[in-house]
Amino acid sequence: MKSFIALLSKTLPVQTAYAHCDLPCGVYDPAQARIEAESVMKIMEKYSGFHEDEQKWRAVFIKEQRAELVKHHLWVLWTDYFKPEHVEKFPQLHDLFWRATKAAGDTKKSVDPAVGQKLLDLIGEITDIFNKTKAK
Amino acid sequence: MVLKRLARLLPLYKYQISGNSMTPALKNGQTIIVNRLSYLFNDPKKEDIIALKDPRDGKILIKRITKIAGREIFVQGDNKKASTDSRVFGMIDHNDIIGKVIF
Repeated sequence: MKSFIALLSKTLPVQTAYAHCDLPCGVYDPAQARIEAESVMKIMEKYSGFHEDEQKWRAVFIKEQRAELVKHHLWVLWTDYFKPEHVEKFPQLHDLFWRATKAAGDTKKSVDPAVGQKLLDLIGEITDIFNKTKAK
Repeated sequence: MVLKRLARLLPLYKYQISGNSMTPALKNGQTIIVNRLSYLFNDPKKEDIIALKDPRDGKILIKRITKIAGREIFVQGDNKKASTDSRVFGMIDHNDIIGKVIF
């Protein structure tokens, strides 16, 4: 019997079965990154209307915090949610995350809303792919 | 391609494990054989290692049965610190079982 199974083991086509681990909560959503990126964008839009140093300083400080949170949420998605089979299907995924996290870093150095919009656009592209991976 | 289609008709499936949630019993990269007919005449038993469909997205998972309540089955990875299983997605239905790991 064992030799029969061993023979089958050699001849049968192999598929992948997962014995994996997600985050304990198993909840992932690019909305977390998008909401933080929208905060960054809003601060950029409002920045030119601030006249007092205290307001400007606070706006920049919060913008940096939010940009860091965007990076964090993107990294969690990139490293924990997306799997090799997703990269196979969407080969642009690694480059897209690399560009998005770079764009999040760029928003720390700028108050130009165009920079914030670029980040939101990249998160939008990630969201499209995320939604496709969820579609059955 | 034809051979692959024919192989799907066989009662035995071959899978390669991806992940560490079933260590030490089954290791990442290990090849296993699953009998799809194991539960045709026998009921699943506690401690059986089974291939099942993830109720969330249909992905094929390998887990161990730890509780049975009628047609509802609770599965867990042996490596409980690194396993996504019924503790996350709840009990699975008998119909979600693909077969029993036999080798």
